[in-house]
Amino acid sequence: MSSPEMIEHILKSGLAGRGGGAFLTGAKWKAVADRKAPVRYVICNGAEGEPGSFKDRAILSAYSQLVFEGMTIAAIAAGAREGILFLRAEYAYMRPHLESVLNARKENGQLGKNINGVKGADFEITIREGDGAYICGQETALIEFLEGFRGEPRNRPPYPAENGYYGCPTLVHNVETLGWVTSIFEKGVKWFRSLGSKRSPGLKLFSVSGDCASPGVYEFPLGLSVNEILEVVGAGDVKGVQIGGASGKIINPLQFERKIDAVDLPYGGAIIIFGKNRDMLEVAHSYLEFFSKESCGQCTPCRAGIVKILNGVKALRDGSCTMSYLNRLVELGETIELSSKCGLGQSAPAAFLSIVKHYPDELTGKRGDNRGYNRGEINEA
Amino acid sequence: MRHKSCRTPGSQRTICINEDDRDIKPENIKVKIDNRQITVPRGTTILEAAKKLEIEIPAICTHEDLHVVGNCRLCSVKVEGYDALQTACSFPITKPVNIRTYGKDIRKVRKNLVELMLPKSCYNCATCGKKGNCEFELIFKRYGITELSFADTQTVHNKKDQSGGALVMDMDKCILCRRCARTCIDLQEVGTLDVAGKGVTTRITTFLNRKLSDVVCISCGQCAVRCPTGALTIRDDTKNVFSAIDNPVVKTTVQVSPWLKASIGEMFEKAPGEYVSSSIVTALKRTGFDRVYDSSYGEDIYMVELIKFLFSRVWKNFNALHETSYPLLSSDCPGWVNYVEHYIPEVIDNLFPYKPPVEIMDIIIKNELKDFTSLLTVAATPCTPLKKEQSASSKHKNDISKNGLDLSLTTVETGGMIKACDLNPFKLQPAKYDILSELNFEAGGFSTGLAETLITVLVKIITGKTAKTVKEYPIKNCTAYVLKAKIDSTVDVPDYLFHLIPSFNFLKGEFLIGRCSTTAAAKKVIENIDQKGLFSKCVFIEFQACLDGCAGAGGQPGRTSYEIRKLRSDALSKSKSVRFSDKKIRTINDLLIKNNGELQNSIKREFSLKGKFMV
Repeated sequence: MSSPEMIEHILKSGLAGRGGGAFLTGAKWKAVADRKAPVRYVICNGAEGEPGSFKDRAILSAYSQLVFEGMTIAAIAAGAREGILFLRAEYAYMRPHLESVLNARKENGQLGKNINGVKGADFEITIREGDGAYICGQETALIEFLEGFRGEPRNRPPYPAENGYYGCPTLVHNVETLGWVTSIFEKGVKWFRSLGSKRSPGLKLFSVSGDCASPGVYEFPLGLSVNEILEVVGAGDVKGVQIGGASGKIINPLQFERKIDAVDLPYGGAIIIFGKNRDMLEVAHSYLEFFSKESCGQCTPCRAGIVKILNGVKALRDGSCTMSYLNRLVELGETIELSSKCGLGQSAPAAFLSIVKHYPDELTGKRGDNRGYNRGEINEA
Repeated sequence: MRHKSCRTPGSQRTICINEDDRDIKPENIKVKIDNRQITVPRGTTILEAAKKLEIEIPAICTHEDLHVVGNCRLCSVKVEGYDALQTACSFPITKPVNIRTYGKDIRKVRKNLVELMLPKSCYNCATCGKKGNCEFELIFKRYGITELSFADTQTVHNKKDQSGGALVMDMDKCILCRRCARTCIDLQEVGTLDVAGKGVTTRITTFLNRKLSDVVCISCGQCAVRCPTGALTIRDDTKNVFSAIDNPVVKTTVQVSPWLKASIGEMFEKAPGEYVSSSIVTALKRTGFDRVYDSSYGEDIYMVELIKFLFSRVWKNFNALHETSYPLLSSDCPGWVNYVEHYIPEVIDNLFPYKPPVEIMDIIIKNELKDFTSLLTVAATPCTPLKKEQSASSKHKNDISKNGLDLSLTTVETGGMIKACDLNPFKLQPAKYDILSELNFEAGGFSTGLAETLITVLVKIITGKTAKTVKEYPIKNCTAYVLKAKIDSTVDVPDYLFHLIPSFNFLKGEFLIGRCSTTAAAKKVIENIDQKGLFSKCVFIEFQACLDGCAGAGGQPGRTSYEIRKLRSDALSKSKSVRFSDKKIRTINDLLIKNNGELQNSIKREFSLKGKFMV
């Protein structure tokens, strides 16, 4: 198969990025391949830093062959000769295993020069370990880190596909995406299209955790409703579900019929279930604490804003937050969502904002003033 | 040539997307900003395009001399097709888009952002070291914020660090725009200031959070002149000067740099480039200085000594009496000398071993007024590293005459002193500078460019004709340039040079002199010399630590930009007409060699190797 055919193949399958961005994989390949450049790179993002997400660990420990194969396919389609597997610091224990897999592939002629005897198909994979920063899971921050700088996101555009690792066109893919690439080339587009919904074809791994009978890694076709998933994992009496890890939105039971796909409820790697007895304010508090620590400190809204909301949530808990200040906090949250540089900042206030919107009862009685909770006032802000 | 610096530290990277495409084809793209159509070249940022339409977009972290970072987010605008707002400073226009720069969402975002940025100790504008030049204040006041809900952001309290030579750090006023770090790393490659920590603990700091006195800093003041708040300022010495003025026993003198006259108008609500006439003398006399001198004389003397030294060096090199044929490097910029002493000690032997013009002038002033027991000599120049030299020497107070300048005042301080006396130099009668009896020639100076003046004078001496020079930029993306002159005929060597160089004949051919500003560019020039590039063929290279030389020096008032610096140097070159005539060189030479070369010996200096670590 020639490179344009490969790109066409993956475009037809409709595979979208499994890291949460849901950007069409084929479009990314095309952007990199169309770029006039002598050197291109493929980076596999194994930074899985999202709290509540552990699917990439499962893939890397049991199905690393699929990932390496996917990287090689992507590299040949896009014209890259070098690949990097970025492994988060906590997954360093997997490195010896992964190295041995890589060595075996080299011996079998599946890596290195003239792969599978095809002349000019050269590809090498190196493994790089992270240092434990959550922000390095963001693709441009990851590239900055790999280049040896502070792990801080770059301005986008330009996207890594145009200008990435050392200024070269770079493919950055989630571990799972590359796994699916291999499966699509193995089993065909038809098979992949037959699963999942029309607008989001294929299967997807979910790390399910929280208040349910059987947490773990699940493979679901895309387009299932939240209720269907909750049934499978054995969760009853659910107050809220967070789709997409800590940076995802929390939805209340009224919205459980919504579908998990690229359009309705964007997916990340994680589904976290909150039972009846959870204090949602506590949830918001712990997330905000996490984000205020993990912000890279580069842009104003994220650096200075998140900590303000965190202090506001503390004040809500203590009962010292006034109605007007809560409105200001909501406005600030929207500012952070709108004006932050990268996904971390843009999604950090999501949990807080959804709690204010969907769980007003959780806030009543915890405010400083004695006026009744006015929902309209909040929505207006 | 506009400065586009080369090194790109990490996230502080410019929009490289254009680099690829620029070579392919320059393409024009139609965009709509606030429903107004404009055609711009591909890769133009929204901010640049909006400026052409005179649409005002606030921006704090962006500075035209530095890389784009887009971290203050104040210039957020709505670009069609994107959910989140995009920063105008960083967004390259690559396809036709609709852009909106105003609206409810944008207003709210900007208002919240400036409030988040407001640092903890930023309410005391009246006593701030920025002295009314605060860019952040101007923007903050625009939004009419009367009640602060989020302002108390910083939990860290930093002590004001005044231990450095010239720089004062008051990090409680920092808004983390990172202009200083980009200046220090990109423009100067010194790296005194950088970003440390993450999240709320992010801060601008020195290596291991040390005091300024314990880290290497060349005191160029480029960070302070770009800082939009009062976080980085230049140490204020006006108090010391006023106390000397108030003391009837102490005689105070001040020498005025020509660069000060080109920029001090900006402190008195004049446009950049408004040159103050000699009415500055009246102003300074009324401020309380006993004597006011023109410091251009020092430059003239430096120049004549340089001509002599250069000819003797060139001749020695030609006869291979000297081991190296390395270009001679200038030493008139104290910031550059600091940089060499700390960072490139291998070229230290090639520095012109004489004191900077200001100190030469100081020696002559001290000699003239040696009868006074108590004397305070002050230099009013935009130069901030002079402050460092002075504070280092002030440790040995007992023998003041040997230690050079007593105090130096920046343009900002000098203007401040004049203001403190309720004077305005633009509304005073002009007066004459005080005369130094030894200096019986007309001052000319070379402030518009040592390299330019030098090549004209040298070619005139060698060929007897006026020089025609060509400018060339040998290094890509670098402001350093070479001035080329052709020498096809030579004249006899004048008698005052004959003992140094018997003939000019061997100089036939190309004659090159280089010029370089900023120390990052200097590093490239030194590399170019090592690789036997065009700069290695120069006989002399002028180095300046500040971007575009003294016009952009750390002690200059207000903001700095290419246009402002250009206006200042234009004003200066228009004001000067005194040329280096043969007669003048002879007069100065006589002065130098009088009494067995007393003056010549006293203006010699040595350099010391200082290294990159401070103990």
